[in-house]
Amino acid sequence: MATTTTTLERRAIWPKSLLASLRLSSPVFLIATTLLVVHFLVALTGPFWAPYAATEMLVGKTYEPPSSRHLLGTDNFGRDIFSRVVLGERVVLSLALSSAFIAVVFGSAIGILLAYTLGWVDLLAMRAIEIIISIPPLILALLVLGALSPSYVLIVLTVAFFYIPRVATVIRAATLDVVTEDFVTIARLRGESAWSIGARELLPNVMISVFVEFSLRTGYAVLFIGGLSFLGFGAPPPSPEWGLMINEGRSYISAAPWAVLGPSLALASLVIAVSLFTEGLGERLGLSIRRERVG
Amino acid sequence: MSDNTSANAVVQVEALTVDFWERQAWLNVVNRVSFSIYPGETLGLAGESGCGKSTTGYALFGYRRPGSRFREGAIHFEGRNLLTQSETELRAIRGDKICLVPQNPATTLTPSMRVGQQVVKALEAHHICSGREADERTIDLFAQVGLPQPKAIAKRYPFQLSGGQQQRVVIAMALAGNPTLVVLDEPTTALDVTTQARILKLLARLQAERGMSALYVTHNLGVMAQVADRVAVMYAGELVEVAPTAELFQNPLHPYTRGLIAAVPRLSAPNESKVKLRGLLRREELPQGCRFAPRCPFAQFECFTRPQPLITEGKDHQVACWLWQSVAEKQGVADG
Repeated sequence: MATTTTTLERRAIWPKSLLASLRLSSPVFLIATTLLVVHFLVALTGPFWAPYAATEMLVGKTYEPPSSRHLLGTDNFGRDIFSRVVLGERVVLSLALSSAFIAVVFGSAIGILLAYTLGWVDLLAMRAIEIIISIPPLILALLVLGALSPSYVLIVLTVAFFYIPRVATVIRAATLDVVTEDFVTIARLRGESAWSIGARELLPNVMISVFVEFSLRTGYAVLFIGGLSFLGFGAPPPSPEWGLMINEGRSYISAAPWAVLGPSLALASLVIAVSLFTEGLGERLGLSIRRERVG
Repeated sequence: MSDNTSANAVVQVEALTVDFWERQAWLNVVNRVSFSIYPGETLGLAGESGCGKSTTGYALFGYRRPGSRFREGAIHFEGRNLLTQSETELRAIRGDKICLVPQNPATTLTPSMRVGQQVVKALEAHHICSGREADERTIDLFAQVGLPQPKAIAKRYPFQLSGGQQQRVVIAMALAGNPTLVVLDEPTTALDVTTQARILKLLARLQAERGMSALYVTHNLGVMAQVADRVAVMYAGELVEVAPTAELFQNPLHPYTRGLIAAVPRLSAPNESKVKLRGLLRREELPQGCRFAPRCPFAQFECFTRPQPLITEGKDHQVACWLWQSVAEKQGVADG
């Protein structure tokens, strides 16, 4: 009986069941999902309806307060802040999503491999992973990005580098539950290769953790990359990346607080949406989300 | 069976010894087990839970669970010693020449993959065929194992099938290769009695059709009497008696086997008092000599110190008890 139940729970991975669970969800989860959808729509369609280009200067006066022409006012170069926030969305999201994606692909592969191999390989790799995790990400990221000329690719790779070992430990733990199952031993006794066992016996059965980890890492990456840009080590000017916009607006915050307000609100709502969505997703799929400090 | 020599055996196990790493020490689990299986023959391996019979069965794949070792011995199969083969060489044999029908079909099938695909995967693993040909072969295999509507069933997930259907899928998967030897690890214990009978019939038919040899691991003596040509009885990691099935049930020699057979309830004599057998001792508590000695009603001082190898007594009948003759006499007196 017990085995049947596990089988049914495992099945809850696939999109059909995801949609079904969406319908039964709490209002908080629904609001978070809606907000997230709005953010994604803005990122996808922004360039088609943003009133001005992100770098177009003197579209109005400088330091213009919010009005019907400039919904969020203008900055020190007279650029339209609303347009910059809208167009920054795709920069922020694509940086965060690609970091999270790379981290989850490599992290999952490493996690599954270690759980399947175990032994001294696992022992050494886990110590290496612990060493990387023990380094405060912000400090090392600042070192790397400060030494090399900042670019989008470099930011993504740096953030992914810090998240790969973190994802690997989570997926390794999830896979450890699966490797002891009979069907894995039986697959070995059927002469399956390690690659086939990893890809087709193990991965599908830890997919829940992989999805949740992707969602979680995206949220962390938004904040982490925003933080790097705010410190001047992330997106290079004149990018409409929100962290960078907040940093630029900070110097004249008393004269034009709206220059900071716009990107701040956007960033906060995105982080909250992703975070609540992840929590709801984990809850639906029967996982508890472990909180972690971002810096 | 007397014309069989070790030369024509399908598989020949020699002094197989397996240890598990438990509580910071090597613990002996299977001790110097030797047997051969001949073409078309079914060898039954009987014994109680934890006596090492499944470990022995899995060893035929050159497989040992993590944290264990093959201390000594050899398993000869097609001119090779499986215990010294590399993982790559073993992979080519596993599931192709030697295949497994395990105990619990519900946990044997991967929960998140359609059952048809799982068989296709087994076919592809051994480069037997792929693509559409593999799909057709799978449906053909499903038909061979008596699954109704094989096409529809191939598209289902394991949890959508009954226990009997799942076991048929597992059998189909085992037949994906060209097995000459099939290891059946209690293939019917998870099934109800009616389904069990059907699965046994199916296995017997497939085995006859393909001329496969089999190692049938079970603790169910009733099933054993039905399927096995010869039976090997295992106790605490050692073989205590090997004999043709009829001979073993009519004329058991070892005190343990005698106890086992006497303990089987019979419909003809429901009120007959049953012999009580006590369970296995912990491995650390076993004596140097005969491992059954602490549980044996006939044990003498010497039994505890003198190891008991299998000795051939009469035609094809091997027993690991130096006292068996006097035991047989005593028990004969007690029975009479």
